Amino acid sequence: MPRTLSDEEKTQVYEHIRQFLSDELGVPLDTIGPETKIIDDLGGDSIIYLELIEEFKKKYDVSVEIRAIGRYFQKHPIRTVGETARAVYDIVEKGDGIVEALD
Amino acid sequence: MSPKPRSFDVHRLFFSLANATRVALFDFAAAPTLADAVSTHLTERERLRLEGLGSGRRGREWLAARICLKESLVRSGVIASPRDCEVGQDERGRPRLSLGPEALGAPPPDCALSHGGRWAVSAWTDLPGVKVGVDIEPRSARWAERRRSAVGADDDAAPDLAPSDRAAVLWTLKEAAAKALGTGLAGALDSAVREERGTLCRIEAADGRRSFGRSLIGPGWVLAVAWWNERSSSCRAH
Ligand SMILES: CC(C)(COP(=O)(O)OP(=O)(O)OC[C@H]1O[C@@H](n2cnc3c(N)ncnc32)[C@H](O)[C@@H]1OP(=O)(O)O)[C@@H](O)C(=O)NCCC(=O)NCCS
Repeated sequence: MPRTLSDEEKTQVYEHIRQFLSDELGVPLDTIGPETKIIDDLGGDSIIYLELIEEFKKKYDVSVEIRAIGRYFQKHPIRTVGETARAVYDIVEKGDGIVEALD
Repeated sequence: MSPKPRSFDVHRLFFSLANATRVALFDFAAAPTLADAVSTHLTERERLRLEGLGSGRRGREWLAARICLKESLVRSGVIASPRDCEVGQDERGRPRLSLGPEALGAPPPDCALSHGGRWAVSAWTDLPGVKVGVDIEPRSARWAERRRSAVGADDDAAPDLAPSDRAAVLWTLKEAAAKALGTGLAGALDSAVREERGTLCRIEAADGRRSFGRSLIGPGWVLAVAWWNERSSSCRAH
């Protein structure tokens, strides 16, 4: 269900992403910041993005078609941890509406 | 004198597209060491790029993918030695091959790379106007959990596979097609896979471009190759 995230929830999302990347990619947590590049700096790949999407769709009970997420990523490429956090805020807050929000 | 290039155990796989797509698989975890290849397989520019990536997993995968492609080109006689070609990239990260002067002005093949787990895979074609893409992923039960993100409502192919394998097959086809088109992850997410005929699938991008692809399930991996004809905006297998 789309909803508005408070600043505190946004911080939680950001921290959750950092922890998730640290666990999945075996990288120390303190080396992951908003400017860290997921593929180039952390050795991540496209699967880590799929799993992140899955994680947050489940956690926030958001139903959004993957094609809509693809369209969103085309407009807002998410190379860094900070960009990923912003994408998750948008997906959670707008759900399937993220595509209309692009126009 | 430059050292004699060591040959790596790269396996050739075959996907039929007018006999013009060569796919090679390299189990680099089984290779004793990749370090020799830095001097025998890489050009100066490639060496500098590798230095920037470091010696961790990312650097190792990057190097393995270049070994895989260059060995495949040497074995097919396109180049005499791995250092006779260089793998650069375009502004979107798509790999771009350039051949040394020994190639006598022949247009370089189009190529694609992927690495996943212990494997690297390369694909190339010299069919004019055809762009290739390739993707490999470890085969694992985790694909069952990734299914909701990898498979969309528009996907209509490989119905008989187990859910985890189906998700891996559809996703590798989408990524391979996105690499052929150069659209990356965003393009893969916003595409649909449909059955064309037999084992051939059609991958439809959001902008209407159609690629064709085949997938293969091996011991521990799932891979797919896709091709797109920039001249006809779609490319059919013969
Ligand atoms: C291309 C992409 C889908 C790769 O998928 P992956 O599963 O992570 O990694 P793979 O091992 O299968 O493929 C990596 C190879 O794809 C190739 N590649 C990268 N960008 C590409 C593009 N736009 N088109 C075609 N091929 C590309 C590269 O050769 C790369 O290997 P290298 O780094 O050794 O040169 C993904 O990295 C991507 O979308 N990159 C574009 C920019 C980006 O970082 N986007 C972030 C999300 S929006």
